[in-house]
Amino acid sequence: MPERVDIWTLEEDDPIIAWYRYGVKVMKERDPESVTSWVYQAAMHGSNEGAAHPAWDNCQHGSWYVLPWHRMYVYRMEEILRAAIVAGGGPEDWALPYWNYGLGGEYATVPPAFRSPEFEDEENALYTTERAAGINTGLELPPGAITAAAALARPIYIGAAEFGGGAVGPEKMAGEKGVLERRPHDSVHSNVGGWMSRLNTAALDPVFWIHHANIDRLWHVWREDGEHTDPAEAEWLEQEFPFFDAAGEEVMTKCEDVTDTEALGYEYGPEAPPPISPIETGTAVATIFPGGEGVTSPELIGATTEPITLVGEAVDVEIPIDAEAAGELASGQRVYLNVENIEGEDNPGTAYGIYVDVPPDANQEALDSHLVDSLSFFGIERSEEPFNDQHPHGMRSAIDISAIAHAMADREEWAGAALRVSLKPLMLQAPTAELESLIPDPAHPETPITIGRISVFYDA
Amino acid sequence: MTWRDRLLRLPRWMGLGDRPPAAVLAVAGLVLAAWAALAVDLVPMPMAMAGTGAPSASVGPLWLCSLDGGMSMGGAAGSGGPVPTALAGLPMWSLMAMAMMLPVALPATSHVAVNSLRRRRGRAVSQFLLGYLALWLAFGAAVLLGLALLPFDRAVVLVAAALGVATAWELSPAKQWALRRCHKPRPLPPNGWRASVGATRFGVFHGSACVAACWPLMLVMAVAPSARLAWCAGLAGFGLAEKLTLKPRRRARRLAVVLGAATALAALAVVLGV
Repeated sequence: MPERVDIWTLEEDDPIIAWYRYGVKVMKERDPESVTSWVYQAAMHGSNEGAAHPAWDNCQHGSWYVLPWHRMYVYRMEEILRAAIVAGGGPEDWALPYWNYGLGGEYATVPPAFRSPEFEDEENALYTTERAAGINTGLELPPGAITAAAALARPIYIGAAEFGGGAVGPEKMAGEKGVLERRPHDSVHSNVGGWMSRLNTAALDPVFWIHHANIDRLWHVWREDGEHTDPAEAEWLEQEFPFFDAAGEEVMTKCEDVTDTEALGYEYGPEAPPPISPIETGTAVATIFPGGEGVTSPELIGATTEPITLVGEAVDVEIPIDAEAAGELASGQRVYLNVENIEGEDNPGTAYGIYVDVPPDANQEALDSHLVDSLSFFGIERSEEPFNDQHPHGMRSAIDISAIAHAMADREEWAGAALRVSLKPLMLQAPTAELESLIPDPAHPETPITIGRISVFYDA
Repeated sequence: MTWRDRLLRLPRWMGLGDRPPAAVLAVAGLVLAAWAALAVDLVPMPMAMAGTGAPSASVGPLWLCSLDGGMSMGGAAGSGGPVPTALAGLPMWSLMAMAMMLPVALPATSHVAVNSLRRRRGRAVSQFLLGYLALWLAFGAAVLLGLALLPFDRAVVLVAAALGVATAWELSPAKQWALRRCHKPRPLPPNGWRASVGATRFGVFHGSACVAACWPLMLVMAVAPSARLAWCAGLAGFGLAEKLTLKPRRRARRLAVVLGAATALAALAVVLGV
């Protein structure tokens, strides 16, 4: 059975990578009108030309369909690549490697095979300049942007603060991206920058596919650990989406058909050994309550009074926790932080860390343990103008901060006190001193982002 | 999705959710009260008598929705001139707006309720609704005044024209843009004067999106002559059908077919001298 392996277990010249390069090159040379061409397949995600073909501009985001849709997308792309690879003399069990940036450090760089303009004196099909400045020199994605720990700890699938995202409905006033979609999926897209940071061009960068192989793997890991289950709702199971197989024939696939990777005919290889300094963030946010039914009767207990504008600098806010509404924090009460009405014309490429209740004079470790989520803006340029025939989904994040809230209540700093929230840009990191000057400036005054409100809720 | 599935989902799709706050249930109650008032013809029909004393088939600035099929009278011949005559129709217009245009605003109302502090919930929802209905009232005043100033009076011509406009609008990109704005929330500060301003502002914003999307439907209401509760119900159902779908463009195309057929019938009536 084809095995998707951790790219960091491979040398730069490994045949798996070489065949990927070959497959990409073949697809790029095909006529853009052909369904198995690079451009056509990328346009299925999103296209500047809109839905010039019915299967284009189809990408599902901001809902519980994001994971199955992307699983189908990667699966069909892998089939198309494999067919080209086999036709070129390559192995029949070739599979995409996955980009395991979660291990941090050097593993949070774009793999070297993708970073050089040429490979063995030929143009490198895996390379593009359309990425954030400096990233092709080996800058590392920030630890706060790459971790999947918070997502993997979510007890259930359905919900805006849960693993896989919320259900869709015509009554919804905003999209419901789940934790995995926000981090590391969105944050990696935003931090890699360039094509990857926009819906209409993201799938043009060959790094997209190894990124999504990793996201797909994380869904598999979450589901296979024995404690978690996918949605059982008919609405999710029976939803189908159109893709093309290796022969260019249109295939409709239902979500229920893609819940098991082995049934689809592939599996995931083990992770590379972690580098010397593994990164841990958000340890203060560990889920402390068993899984519930998802958000059902939310109760507002505090919110900001004015919108916030982000232009690349850190912003600190204090959210007064209304004494009357919050009352005594009952044991077992879940508490959520919502970042609402996130609006902007374009993705600035800067992702922010959301830090909650950071102690004064916190060192880096304390700071990192209060990082509850990353705030990035992948898809913001299309959030009011939906793909295909869908409702728009405004951007909004819902984050489980129960552990922090209960810690504050234990210190008697809850009802009537203020919750300190800081938004700080997450910077690319330089592995060596020479590369530090290449770290891009996070400032984005020309593409400001406004956050209408940050609120705190109780929920059952 | 089967019709049974759709029916089971209706409360959620209407914004009533699993455990609707009391404020939202109150608004649903208000909607039912408005329908009841329409059904029993609670709002009196202002009559401006023409010289003959016999009801004329002319359409005036007042559209009346009543079970006994009363005809509107009015026009520039009404006593006091077009403005008072038009304004006299506003109470009925407001009732119609509440009955027909509040149901589609239930999701946004629910959003306001959930996103307000419990002790402010009733206030926030009321402020939101006032802002929302104010837009419909303003539109209503403009429509009624416009009708009062119209020089001709064949009801069926106006109906055909309004249905034609509705069909064209249904297919336009502008309509889809407006429908998308109906899904856009505005921030709601938690307390103080800012909370009141925020809720009202969201009401006005949502109302403007709603008017932009549905103005032709209400225009048809305004000119429909031999009014029945059926007209109200039909067009209100239309508005809901536009909203309660996961594929808005496909739904709009299908509804346009219905509107087009209605336009054709009305045009036929014009030609036949009805």
